[in-house]
Amino acid sequence: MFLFAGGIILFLNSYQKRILSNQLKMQEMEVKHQQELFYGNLESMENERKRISRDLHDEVGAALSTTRLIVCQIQEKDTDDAQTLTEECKKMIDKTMDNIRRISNDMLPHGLEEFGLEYAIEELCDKVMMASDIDIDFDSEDYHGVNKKAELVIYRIVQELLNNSLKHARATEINIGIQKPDEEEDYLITYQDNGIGFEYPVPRKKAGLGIMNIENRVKMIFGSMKLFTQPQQGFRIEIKVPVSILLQNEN
Amino acid sequence: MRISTLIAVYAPISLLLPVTVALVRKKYLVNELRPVAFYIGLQLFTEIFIRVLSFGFHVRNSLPFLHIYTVLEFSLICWFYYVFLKDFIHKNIIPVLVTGFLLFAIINGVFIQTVFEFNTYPRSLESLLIVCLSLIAFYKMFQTLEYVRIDRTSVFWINSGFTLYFSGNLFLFVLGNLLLSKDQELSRMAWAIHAGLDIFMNIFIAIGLWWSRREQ
Repeated sequence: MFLFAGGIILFLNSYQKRILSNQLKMQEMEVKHQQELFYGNLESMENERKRISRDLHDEVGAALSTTRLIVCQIQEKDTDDAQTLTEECKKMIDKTMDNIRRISNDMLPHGLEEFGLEYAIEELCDKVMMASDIDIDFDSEDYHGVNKKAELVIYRIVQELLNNSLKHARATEINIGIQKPDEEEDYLITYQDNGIGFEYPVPRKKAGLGIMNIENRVKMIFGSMKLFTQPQQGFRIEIKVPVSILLQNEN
Repeated sequence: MRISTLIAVYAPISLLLPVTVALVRKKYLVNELRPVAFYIGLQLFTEIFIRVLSFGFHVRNSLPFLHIYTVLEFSLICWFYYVFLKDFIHKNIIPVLVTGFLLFAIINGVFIQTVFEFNTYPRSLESLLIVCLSLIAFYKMFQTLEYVRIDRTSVFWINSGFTLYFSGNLFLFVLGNLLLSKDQELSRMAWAIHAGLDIFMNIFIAIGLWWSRREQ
């Protein structure tokens, strides 16, 4: 009887263990599949952006440059009215070229692939500081990531956060940090502004698409995030990303 | 009254438990549960029939009926395993086993043991084969992982009931005639154990039938 009872308990125990292990495997496969889907989408999106960026730069930009040269030639030969007109044309073409350059840079993070995440974020911060009165402090320690896809996700998160601070927060100071606390298995990415903040989680339910996007991006790189904000108390987000993900060679 | 006698006398009452559950859940007793329902019916009929023979007609030896009962019992249990294991083991194995067992039971009743004595050989062989089938059933459950909550499935409980009853009684059936003819006290003890295992099997079958169609 005891032997039988023991046998049944052992059977049930082993059975449940196998079921759990199978479920875990299934979940892992699902997560992997989701990640592959995400990376696939991301890759096609980024490829498309690259293509558009190249086209804008190489074709439209070049065509505009040529047009500008022609206009310059007209200017040298024609009357005063034509000179005024061509002057305006030149200004417009210059403006268009600047716009194209800006759109092209926005689509393809400048320097991310060549010089890495730290450089790309610094560039982004410089651009924001030039375009606004916001003072940004970016601090990065001990960062050695190599996974370009994951880095692109982090870059887009920072871009989204900066965009939010610019559009809604009325912030004057922003602190961005990437650290690897000792003996931790995760990189800690912190972002803090001194803006107007908001009541969390209420806005998330109403119109928190930006936060949802950030949350989804964080999940895709197996990270976790904590958000701290209240009205008139600024905004702070802490994102943890496993070191293993950032050190993973994407090939 | 001794406790061993008490168990042996009142054990058949436990049969009312699976009978009641089977009646309550009768519309769900399909596939492998149908033979189990017939098996409970067979047990109930046997109990009543033997009591009628014993008290109504004062028949002292009802063992000839046990020979028929053994074949019917084995066939019904095999039907249960046939439905459950048909996609796991070769389809012909169980029908061959039943046919072979039927032939062996006839040969045993005619040539080896008389119908008036305990059919130790068929009973032992039956127990051995059912224990083997039950182990295969456990193996199938373990390999296929069909159910998330195995403890909420009919097959698990019924199979456990069969394993407990037939493995526990294997030696009792082997030594059946010896126990009946030798020491009275030992015989009483042995049949009390048999009755105890019968109670457990009936409880397990009742739980199994209770989980019919609630399987996950």
